[in-house]
Parts: sequence; structure tokens; C-alpha cells
Amino acid sequence: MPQPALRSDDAALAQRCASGDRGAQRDLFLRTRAAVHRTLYRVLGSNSELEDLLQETYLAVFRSIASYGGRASLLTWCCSVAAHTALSFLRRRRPTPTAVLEAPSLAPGAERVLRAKLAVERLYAALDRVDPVQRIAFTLAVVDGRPLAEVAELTRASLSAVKTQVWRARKTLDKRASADAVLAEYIHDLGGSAREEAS
Amino acid sequence: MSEPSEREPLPPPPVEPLPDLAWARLERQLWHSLDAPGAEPVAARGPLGRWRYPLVAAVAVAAAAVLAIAWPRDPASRATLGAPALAVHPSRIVTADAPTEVSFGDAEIIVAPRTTLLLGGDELRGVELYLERGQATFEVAPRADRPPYVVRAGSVRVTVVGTAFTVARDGDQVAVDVTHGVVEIVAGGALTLVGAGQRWDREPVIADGVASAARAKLAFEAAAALEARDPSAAIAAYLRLAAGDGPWSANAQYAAARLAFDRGDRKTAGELARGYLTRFPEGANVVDARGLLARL
Repeated sequence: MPQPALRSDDAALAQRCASGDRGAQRDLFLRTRAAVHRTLYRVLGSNSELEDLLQETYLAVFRSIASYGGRASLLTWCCSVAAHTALSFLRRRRPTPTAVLEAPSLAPGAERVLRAKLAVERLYAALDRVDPVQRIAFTLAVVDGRPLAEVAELTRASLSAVKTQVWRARKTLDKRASADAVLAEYIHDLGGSAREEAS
Repeated sequence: MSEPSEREPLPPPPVEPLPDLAWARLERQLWHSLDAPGAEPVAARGPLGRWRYPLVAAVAVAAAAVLAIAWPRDPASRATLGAPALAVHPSRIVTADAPTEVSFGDAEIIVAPRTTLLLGGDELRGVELYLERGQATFEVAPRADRPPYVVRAGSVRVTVVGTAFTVARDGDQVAVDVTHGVVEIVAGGALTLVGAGQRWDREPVIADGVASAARAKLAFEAAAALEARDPSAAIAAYLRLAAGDGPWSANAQYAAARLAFDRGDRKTAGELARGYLTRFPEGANVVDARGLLARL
């Protein structure tokens, strides 16, 4: 997934942020927040703690921005911090039971809408049973459609490690999907180019 | 794994954007945390809470805490919060000439005739209701450490501490009668605690940004809840919301485009998605809208 690039003066902006320049910090926050939010949302799905996690991410960003080395864009670096925030969240929380929607009576055209809602719900319920590292790789590569190289950059892992993580997550999900047609269909739909890349 | 069929592939889940109010709250708390002397770094969960209302300020929180402690707790009363928290699907209750009684969260609500009440939130984050018109009586389990239970009417916000009370709205006039317990009422920036046997009223209620944003959010959730049952009505509801201003207009515009696409109405989906990109070029669903157009 192409990300909007920051200006070329990322290093200067990072330096100003590190020196405590509130204007620069606000600038960075406003420019990156949509992508950071998207990263967390894709990994975790609809989540009541998203706002807390966004704050946690930005606290980490501003407290460690002095270590920004300029290898990736500042935007990618912030998303990478978000991915790690999501990882520590997944490791410390317990999966919660998920309610299953039922369709009492459907108007014409509603079936697909309901199927999509069910599918998203089932996907994230199934992802709760996937290893957190694999889940992050899978959601960023397959659900969000980012190139594997970008996922590797975000997770600070090697490309081959990311391929393996995506493949393992898919195996786990496929196992659950064998008894869940809605989930199976959705995983198939989300396959995309990442599947080819990963195989 | 099922074989691919002739059906259209399902799209990736849309990213549900945060409203501007949430971003503003988040930013304020972020700078506050960064400025706090000797603040701990991130690892520990911060004291943030999405459903805490910073506008009420420390006084309100302290008052609520005192009242919550003082309020007699009956462990046998209601209490469903020990059970796994399931999402409470947002909905809209409109009564005609007869009252109706509903359970929502851990409360019993009697909705009077000719009343419109929007229900939103869930048992984990807290329940939020919006009284558009009419009257509703609530009997709510003491909150103690439960998530908030909030009723809004125009710009008036009633936060339950643990009580039975009635909120009535007639146009811009709002009245709250407390049967037992205590509620906190915030109106015009002022906090009032109203106890058993007391009545609070104010007129006129001037709709402010906070109230309209809360109403827009609930209207959005009500439209989303309609999607499966009646997608045409859901699209119409989204478009009504999209015609206004504010963050929920953007969300509604994209949601209408997505729903039209899901229903196979490519022409409408395309128009709405293009409209979204024109109106909200910095919107949270820009990537999704472009993706939708690419799939047309």
C-alpha cells in the first residue's frame, strides 16, 4: 500500500521534535496520525482501546525520536512504532469472546453486506488465536495489502522472515476456516498478490 | 477452503476513522503526558480512557467518586458486567402513542410515547444515549467501577452515578427528575449534581459542537445498524448525515459509497467515492475510497 511520503527534511523534523519543539511535534503528529491509526486498526480491528494505543504510540515516538536514523521515512518509522505498540498490546491482552451476528430477515442486496460484516468479525476473532508477530505480518500484508518489503521494514524483520510469518498465519487461519465457510471465503478474497509473494 | 464462485469478492474491512473530537482529546492528553515531569515511558498502560470525559474536569471526577462510594451498593442488583462484554448494537427507538420498555446495557428504560431515543456504545466502553425528543425514564445499576452510562439531550449531558431518573426534552427545553440516587449534569460548561427528589431544568438548550458531534456519531451508528436489515434505508441515512459538516459527514459519505458498491450499484458507488475524495481529500478513508474506485 503506497504511503504518502513526508518531506525530504525528515531528519531535521525529527531533530526539532527531539529537542522538544512542540510545533514540530504537532506537525509530525498531524502528518502521520492517519497512517499510524490505519496501521493499528488493521492489526487490531475495531478496538475500544485504539485511542489509548495511539497515545502510547506517539509517546513512544516522541520519547525515542532521537534514535531516528533516517534509514526509513519518518512516516514509516512512526508506523513501525505503531506496529510494535500493537505487538506489545497483543502480548499482554487475552482474547475476548466474539459475538456472532445473526440475520433475522434480509432485504434484497443485504446478504453481501451482512456477509462482509460477519467475515470481518470472524477474521479478527480467528486472528486472536494467531501468534501476535504472525498476526501483524498477515494483517499488514494481506488485509492492508502492503508489499512484503514494506511490512519487513515496519516490523524490522527480514523479508524471508515476513514471508514465513504470513504463511504461518495463513496456515493457522486456514485450519480455523476449514470449519467456517464465511471465514474461508474471506481469507480467499483477501489473498491477493501477497499470497503469491509469500509462497 | 471453499472454491471460488461467481460471487464478487468481499472487500477488506474499512478503517473506521476517529472523530475530530477524539483526535483533539488524544492530542491534548499526549502533550500533557509529554510535559508531565518525570513521566514514565510508555510500556505501562497509561491512565488514559477513551470514555473518560476530560471536560468534566477533576472536580466532577472527584465528586462522582465520592458519590459512588457513598451510594449503597446492592451486589444482587442487576449486574451483567461479569459476563463477557458483547457489543450492544446501536439502534433508534421511536415510539408512537404507546410507551415501551427496553433493557440496554445494565439499565431498564421506559420510553414514553412520541419519543425518539438513540442507543449507542457497549458494555465495555460505556453506554451513550441521545434523547432526540420526548421522555425516557432510566433505572441504572450503580456505576461504581462499571463503565459510564451517559444520556444526552441537546447540549445537556447526564452522567449516571447509580440511580433512577427521567429525562424529558421538548424542543430546546430539557428537564431531569431524579427518583433516587444521584446524577451529574453538565450543561453550558457547568456541572450540577442532582439528588433524589430533585428536579433540574433548563431552557433553551443551545446545541453546541460537542452535542452535535455526539448526535452525529449515534446517527452514524444507527445507519450502520440498518445496513444488514435495510441497506437502502442505511444509504439514505448515511447520505442525510453526509450532507452536513463534521467528521461524521466524511465517514457517512464513504460508508454510503461502500454500501452502494457492496450492493452492486457501481454508478452510485463511483459518484459517492469521487465525491468523498473531492470533499474530504485528507479524510481517513481516502485510501479506501481510491481502492473502491479502482475496483469499479
